[in-house]
Amino acid sequence: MPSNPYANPFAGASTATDGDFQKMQGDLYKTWEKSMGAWWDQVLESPAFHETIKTVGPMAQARGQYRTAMDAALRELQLPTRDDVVRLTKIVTQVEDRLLAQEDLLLQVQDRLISMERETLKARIEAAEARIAAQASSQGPPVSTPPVAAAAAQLDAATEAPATSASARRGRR
Amino acid sequence: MNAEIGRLDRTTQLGAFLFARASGSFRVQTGQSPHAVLHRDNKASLRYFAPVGAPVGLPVLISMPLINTWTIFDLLPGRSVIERLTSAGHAVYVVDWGRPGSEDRENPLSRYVDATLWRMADRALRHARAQAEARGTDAPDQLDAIGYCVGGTFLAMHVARACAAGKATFRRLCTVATPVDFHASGRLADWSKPAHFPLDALVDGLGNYPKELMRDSFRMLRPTGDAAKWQGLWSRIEDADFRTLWAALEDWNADGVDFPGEAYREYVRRCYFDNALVAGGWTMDGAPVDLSRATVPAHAIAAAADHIAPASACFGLTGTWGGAVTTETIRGGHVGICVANLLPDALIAWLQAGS
Repeated sequence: MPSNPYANPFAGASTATDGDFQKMQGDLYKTWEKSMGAWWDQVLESPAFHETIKTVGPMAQARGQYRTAMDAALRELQLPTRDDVVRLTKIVTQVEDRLLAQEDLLLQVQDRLISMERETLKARIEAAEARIAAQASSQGPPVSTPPVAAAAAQLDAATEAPATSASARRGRR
Repeated sequence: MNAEIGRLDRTTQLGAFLFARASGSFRVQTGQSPHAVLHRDNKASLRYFAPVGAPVGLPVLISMPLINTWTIFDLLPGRSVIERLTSAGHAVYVVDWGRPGSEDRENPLSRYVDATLWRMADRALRHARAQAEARGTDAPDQLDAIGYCVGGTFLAMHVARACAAGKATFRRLCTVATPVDFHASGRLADWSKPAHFPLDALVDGLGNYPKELMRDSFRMLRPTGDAAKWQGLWSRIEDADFRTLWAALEDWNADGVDFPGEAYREYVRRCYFDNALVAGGWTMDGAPVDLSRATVPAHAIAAAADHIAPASACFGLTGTWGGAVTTETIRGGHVGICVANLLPDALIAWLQAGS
């Protein structure tokens, strides 16, 4: 009794020739594929086959006409047609397209705001640096305050002013 | 179920596997890498895959093909381009086009090439910057772009148009199995000639170009491919990993996406009929689609056994792209390269070469 109930009972008998048989199968297949391939090449590259491609056109047109007739029949029966569903879906798609266009615009505005914010900050820092440099050259180095702390204080003062005015503008609104 | 099949002998394994597939009890989950959806634009969505560890290089935007699902780049654990890229430290943003419906039939090609890709790149870059600021590192100002198949064609057009408009969103582009010289795409180009391909009748009659027609025409490019698929399954049926991979590929292949009608009309007319990416003369929304106006470097990867976008079509980028172009051919077919190791290796090497 074999341990595997689904095992081929003749498997042992043919083991010695399995490899040869498989090789023969492979060779036979290759020969078949080569000859069939050559025959198909002749068929598919022949002008007659090219002519038959044209017949797909009338078949497609017939299918289109059948669909038109079906839609007309459904319309007579006061039933929604495929075209009605398509029309509805197109409206939804158009709305989606508009929303996407708005999203694009919002992202562009966001990009501009970010770049403006960066430019404004950069300008403020440059202005603050210029002021510090001007003060340093006119007054000389401060005696009691370390240079870095003084520069930081100047920068704070310079960048605080526009921020205050911006919050004041917001308050006025 | 896969483990139980493994205990059977070879012939019974095949029968049990096929029965399990037909009965729906052998299911494979694809797209398992953890990710977040950052943005949605109609059916399309932007999926973010965080890097493992500290991020390396620029964030990567991947444009997948419109005609299939994105999961081919994340098919299974251990068979995933995205998993390999994130493991190598790259932040990955994937453009998943979703499933266009009948209401998308009139969408022009520019909606995908310009509007959606622009928005996806914009949101990806914003997210990458926010992530960098949160980490306290330098914020990236550009993306590396990778496009696969039609997604690569769209991305190449987008990058060239962005460069022409003076936008520096992308540092460089890598196209994978992406046709550019459509007249060099072999049998598909022969079938898509205006003399016998009824483009207008198809779009007018069917609306969106159906995934079934697309799948069947790809199958007809190599009619013995189905037999090869079954032969491959028979020869490796005892390999549990191969059974899972085979099932995942089958499911992915069956899970196609309809091509929006008007976009398809413009794509086939311009790319297959006129070969306008090479020949020029294509204007979209008032601006030319001119790859020679691209200023960033591009790297074109082709699959050696690709019958959908052969190397000759992919390497059409050379001579048409405005920036420097390098090319690379790797072993495999159009889909097979996505589940083998060679493609992630090539992409990681490309990404790290410029980091």
